[in-house]
Amino acid sequence: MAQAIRKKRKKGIKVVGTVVIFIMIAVVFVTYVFPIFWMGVTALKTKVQIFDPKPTIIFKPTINNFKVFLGTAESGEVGAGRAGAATSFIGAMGRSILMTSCVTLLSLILGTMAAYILSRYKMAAKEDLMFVILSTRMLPPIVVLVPISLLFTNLGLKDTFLGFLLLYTMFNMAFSVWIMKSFFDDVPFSFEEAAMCDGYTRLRAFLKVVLPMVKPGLAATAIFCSILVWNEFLFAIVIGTRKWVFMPPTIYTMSYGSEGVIWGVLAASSLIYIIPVVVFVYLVRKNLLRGITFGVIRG
Amino acid sequence: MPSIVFKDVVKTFGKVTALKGIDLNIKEGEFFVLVGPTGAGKTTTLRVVSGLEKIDSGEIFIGEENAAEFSPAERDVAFVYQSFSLYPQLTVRKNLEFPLRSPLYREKEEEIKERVEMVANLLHITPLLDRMPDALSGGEMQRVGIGRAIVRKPQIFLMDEPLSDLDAKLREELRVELRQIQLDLKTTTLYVTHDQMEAMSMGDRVAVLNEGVVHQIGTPKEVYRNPADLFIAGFIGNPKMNFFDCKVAGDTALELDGGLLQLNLSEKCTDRISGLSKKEGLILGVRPEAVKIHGEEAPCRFEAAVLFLEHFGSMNIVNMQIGERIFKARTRPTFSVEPKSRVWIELDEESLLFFDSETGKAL
Amino acid sequence: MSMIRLVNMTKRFGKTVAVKNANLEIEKGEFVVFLGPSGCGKTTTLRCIAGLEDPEEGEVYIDEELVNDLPTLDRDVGFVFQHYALFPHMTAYQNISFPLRAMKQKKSDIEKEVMRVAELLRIKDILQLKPSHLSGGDLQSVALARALVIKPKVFLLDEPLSTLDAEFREEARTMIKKIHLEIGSTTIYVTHDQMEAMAIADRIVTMNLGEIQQIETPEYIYHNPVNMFVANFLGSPGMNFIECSLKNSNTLKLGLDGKELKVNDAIVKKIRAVGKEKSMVMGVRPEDIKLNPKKDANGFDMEVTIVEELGPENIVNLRSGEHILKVLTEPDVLLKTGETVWAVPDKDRIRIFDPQTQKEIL
Repeated sequence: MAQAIRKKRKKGIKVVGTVVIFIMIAVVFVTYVFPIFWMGVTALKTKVQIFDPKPTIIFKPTINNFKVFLGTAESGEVGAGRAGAATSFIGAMGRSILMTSCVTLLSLILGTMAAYILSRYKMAAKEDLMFVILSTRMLPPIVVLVPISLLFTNLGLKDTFLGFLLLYTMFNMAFSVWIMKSFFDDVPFSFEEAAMCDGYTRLRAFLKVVLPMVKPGLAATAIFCSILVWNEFLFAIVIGTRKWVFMPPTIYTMSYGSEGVIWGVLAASSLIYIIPVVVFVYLVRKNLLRGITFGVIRG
Repeated sequence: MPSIVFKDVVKTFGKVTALKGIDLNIKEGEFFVLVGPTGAGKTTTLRVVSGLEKIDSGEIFIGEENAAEFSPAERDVAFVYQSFSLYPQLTVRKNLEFPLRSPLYREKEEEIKERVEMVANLLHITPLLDRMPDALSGGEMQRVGIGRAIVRKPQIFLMDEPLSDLDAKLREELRVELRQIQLDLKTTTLYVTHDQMEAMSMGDRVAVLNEGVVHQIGTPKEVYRNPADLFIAGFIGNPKMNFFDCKVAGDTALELDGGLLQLNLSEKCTDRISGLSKKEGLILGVRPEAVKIHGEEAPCRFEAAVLFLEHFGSMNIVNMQIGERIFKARTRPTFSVEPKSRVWIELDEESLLFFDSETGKAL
Repeated sequence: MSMIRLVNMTKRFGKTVAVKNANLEIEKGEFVVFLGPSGCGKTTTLRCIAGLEDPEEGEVYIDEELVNDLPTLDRDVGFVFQHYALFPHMTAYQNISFPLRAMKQKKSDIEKEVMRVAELLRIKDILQLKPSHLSGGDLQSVALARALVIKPKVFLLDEPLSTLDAEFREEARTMIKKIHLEIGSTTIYVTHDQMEAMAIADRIVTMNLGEIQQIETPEYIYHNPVNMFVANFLGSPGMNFIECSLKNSNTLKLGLDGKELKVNDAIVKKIRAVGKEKSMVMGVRPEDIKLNPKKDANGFDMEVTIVEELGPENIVNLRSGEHILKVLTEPDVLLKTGETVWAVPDKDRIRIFDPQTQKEIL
């Protein structure tokens, strides 16, 4: 019957298809990588070279923009007040790293525990609870910017370590819980049951048996959470007024002067700022493999 | 090794009653098989013995003790699952060691090593000890799963269809091995399956379960020769038992399928037929191996048409038809007959079974 | 004129060779079973015929047409997956009509065809239900209907009964065979269960480790296995193998701790002709061995380990040292664990195999 409607396809189509896909991937790749490449190029240029109407890739590079970090930059290039602003950058970097690590850790721990309970135990209105958790990420953060700012001021949390810790952890809980719950759901309960019959307590069974199996979930959650905190600009700039100044606001203030945008500094500091995250994801990448439980369970 | 006793155990899950008052008496060291279709309540029965589910009413005794007071770990039971639960991040050896490292056991290192090697030997998996679970075949994985249950030397084995996911050939081999291991260890074992051949092959005694109710408990032979009701008769035995609607039409005569067939039995059956409490609404059951095929007519035989033959190597199954009814006979492999030919059928009178068509019970 | 032909077909997955040099011809209207253990390549071969996989080497012909470059939908095959692959958000009717709707058939024609297959498979009354409300048997019938609705030239089934409970498999396979007889489609059925294969196949294609072992009718394969794998795979239980050597002109020395067995001249002739007196393998089927509780000069003694009482027959497991032997007996043979019994093989049914080539010495 299908004969009546059949069309023959030629082998050529297969080759064309492959080429098209290859081109599409190349386009996407270039779209994502080119801006970073251009940023790197800009960071190595002097002010004059940056404003050259002809965009050039081959030029004499300078590391002056990077010297802002050490406070030894030529002030003419980077604008007044920045030449000696080493403490600003280094301090901000340190604070960003500290806050990101603490928030990621806390979100992982709390989120994982909550996700495990939600995955394993029966409870009334579980879907509703999951929805409420997810709903915290449904509004753009700017909507709650003013209320939270006022709340923090009243509670004395403004510009404090604890304030930011609580704020960012709260932002991350939705991801944490949803991602981890889906991973826990994929681990059959029989694993813990077998361990419990062997004499392990629920907690030990969880730590020794289940957690190792959800490593991909932990890795994915850690990456999500850390990127969110690392990039956060809005609340950082509003709530971190004097003491707790993180890198994103610092990059902003340092790159914007009376002369306008100091592209060199912007490019250099942003480039440096990307490095820790890239390193982190690179270190964690092996754990992202989701093959760990597949193939063993076939039921 | 303890006995396991169920007294009127009821277990519900919300609106569904999985176990409707189960009574079981499993002896020490017995290999007891729970057989029945999916959803019968077999897995639930295993889980309440282990303590992973609590019962709603009734009592379960493990040995002399009422099991209600003990947690799963304290009951000293080991599970073998249908879908392999090997910890994927540990080697086979570490998987086997895992139960022995639990807080309840705290064995010494040498003892652990020795046990693991003994178990590996028993199950022929010694060369696999340093592999990861994803490098094992289905049969190998299941052996490790069984090994993991044995290594603790528990007092009860609970096995939930452990062979169902394996190839037919592997199942044949492993069921004998498993049985041999249980005989050597003398551990009380409760084994669940939906495959009646496994039940027949392995069980000291068998309990047929359907919809949360135990229909019959007996040795495989008893359940095969004297099924308590229609369900069991149709469930146990491959190929299935042949059934005919039946009416008593005389001292030794039976009318089958509404008069389609008159079956005349020998004198020996007079007592049996007169002993039937009903004359109508009967079902006659006869197993394929009790159906004998002949070439000529004779007093106790009836005529039928051959549909086709199935060759199984060690036996043949002849499919025959009378009116709308198709029934089967089991013969030697050398037996041959042409499709569409007419043959004379004799039924082995001692194997005839009668059932009440309303209640399904055997008469 | 064959309906399906494979010529030197090879399929690899990375470094693993899943199917090696497959050659076969299937006639129109035949019911062929691909039989073998897990991982032998039977499903891969089926998928290559369907077009779901592309072989690296060789050709696939359907109805004498080279289909290597034809996508699945143009090959006119109906495929039934092991786990059905039914769309959960559609009713049974919509699932079955899906292939026809994809081909943009007229609504009235679609309805006619769906009803035709629903009648054939007796699922008319469940057509409005969704898969989540259907039993295993019904799901399978719907999957079959979906494959049949396009009146395919070739009907391909991948272990269709594996998800059913044992008690429904007999009915289901009889139904599949019946459908085959009624519509006369060329059918390929994949399974690892040799009993199923024996029951329904016109011919069986036995496979192991990616290679086709033997293609014959069930009866022929059973009585004339080409090698040890096939001899053991078919039969429940499969053929027993015992290592042996020729002691003298009428006796074999068995690898069972030196026990001896008297054999026919015919066998001795065969062995001498090939010069394999020192190391051979003797094969004998479980149903071809009789057991004698008393000493028997025509047999050898073994110890009973486990007796499996299956109902219509018993499997008696025997042991001598590390060697195991399985024997099929009548159900009323009463033997106990630990008893010594004499195994007497039927002299005319003993086969000799070459342990290196694994083939029978004829």
